[in-house]
Amino acid sequence: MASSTTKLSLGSLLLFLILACVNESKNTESTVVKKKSIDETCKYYAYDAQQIVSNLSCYNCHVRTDERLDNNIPTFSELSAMDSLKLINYAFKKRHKGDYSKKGAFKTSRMDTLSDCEIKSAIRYIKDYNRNIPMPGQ
Amino acid sequence: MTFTQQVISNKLRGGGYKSGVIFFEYNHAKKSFNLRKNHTYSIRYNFNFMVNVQQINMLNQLKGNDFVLAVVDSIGHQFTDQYGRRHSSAGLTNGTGGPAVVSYDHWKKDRYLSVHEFFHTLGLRDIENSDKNNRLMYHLGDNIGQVISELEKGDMMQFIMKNIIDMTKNSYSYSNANRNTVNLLRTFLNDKTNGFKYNKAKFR
Repeated sequence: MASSTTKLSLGSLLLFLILACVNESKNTESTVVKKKSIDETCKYYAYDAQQIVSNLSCYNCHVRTDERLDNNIPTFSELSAMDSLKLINYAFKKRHKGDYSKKGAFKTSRMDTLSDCEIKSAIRYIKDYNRNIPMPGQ
Repeated sequence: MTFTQQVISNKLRGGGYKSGVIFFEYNHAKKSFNLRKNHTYSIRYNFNFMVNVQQINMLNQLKGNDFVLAVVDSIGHQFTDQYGRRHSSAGLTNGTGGPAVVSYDHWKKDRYLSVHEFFHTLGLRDIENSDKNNRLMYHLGDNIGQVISELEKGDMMQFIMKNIIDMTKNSYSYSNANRNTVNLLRTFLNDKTNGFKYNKAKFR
C-alpha cells in the first residue's frame, strides 16, 4: 500500500514536470516570436528618420556647427557622440521637460509619443551623424 | 558641367519654406531670441543662389567655401537597399557638407548623378521608397523624375543657415572660408572602405 502511494506520488510529480516543461517551452517560443516580430517590423529607413528629426526641429537648437547655440544646448555632433540609452532617456525625453509630450507645447511634433521604432530610427540617424556614413548614388 | 550648373541653379531657385518650425521666442523690441521660451514658426527662406561649376587642375585651387566633386576611375563601394538588394555605388558623398566622388563611366551615362551627390552635401538623404521614384534623391536607378520637395528645400536652407540666431547679428556671413576642403577630400579618397580607384597624379 505504502509503495503504491509512493508510485502514485512519483507519477504525479512526473506528470507535473512534463506539464511544466511543456509550458516553459511554450513561453520561450512566444517570447522568441514576439521579439522576432518587433525586429521584422522595425526597419531603418534613413529618409523617414530624417523626416522625424526634421519635424522635431532638432537642428535649429542642436546646430550643425562646432559652436553651441547656447552653453546649455549641445551641438548635433555632441548629441551624436552620446550613448544611445542616454539619448533616449535623458536627451530625447527628460531634457525637454515635457514640451513634446501629449499635453506639451509642441504636442503636434510628438517626441514623447513617437513609437519605439520611430525613436530607434531617430537615434540611429542622430548617431550616424558622427559616423560620417557615405551616401551612395546609383 | 553646364548642365550640372543649370540643374543645381534651378533646384535652388525660389529659396525654401518650412512650417511647424520650433525655436525660441523672438523679442521684436530687443531684437533677440528669448532662450527660456519656445515658439512655433513658419519660415520662408529668401535666398538667392549663384552656382558656378568649374573644373580645376590642382587641388590647391580649392577654397574653404567650395563644394568639391571628384571624378574617379571607379568606385568599389556597395550598398544594400531597404529591400535587401545589393547595388554598386556610382557616386559617394562624405556625409553632410563633405566632398562628393563619382565614377567617370556613370557620370557620363547619368547626367543627374553629380547633381544628386551635390544635394547630399546640402544635407539631403537618399530615398528608397518605390513610390518616390520621381525624386532627385531616389537612388535605386529607376527614376522617373528629379523633383526636390518643399520639405527638402526647407531642410537645405536650414542647413545653410545653421544657426538661426546668427541672423540677429548686425553682420554675418554664411561662409566657411577656413574649411579645409582639400584635406577632407584627401581623407575621403584614401578611405579604403570606399574602394576608389583613381590616378593619384591627377589629385595633387
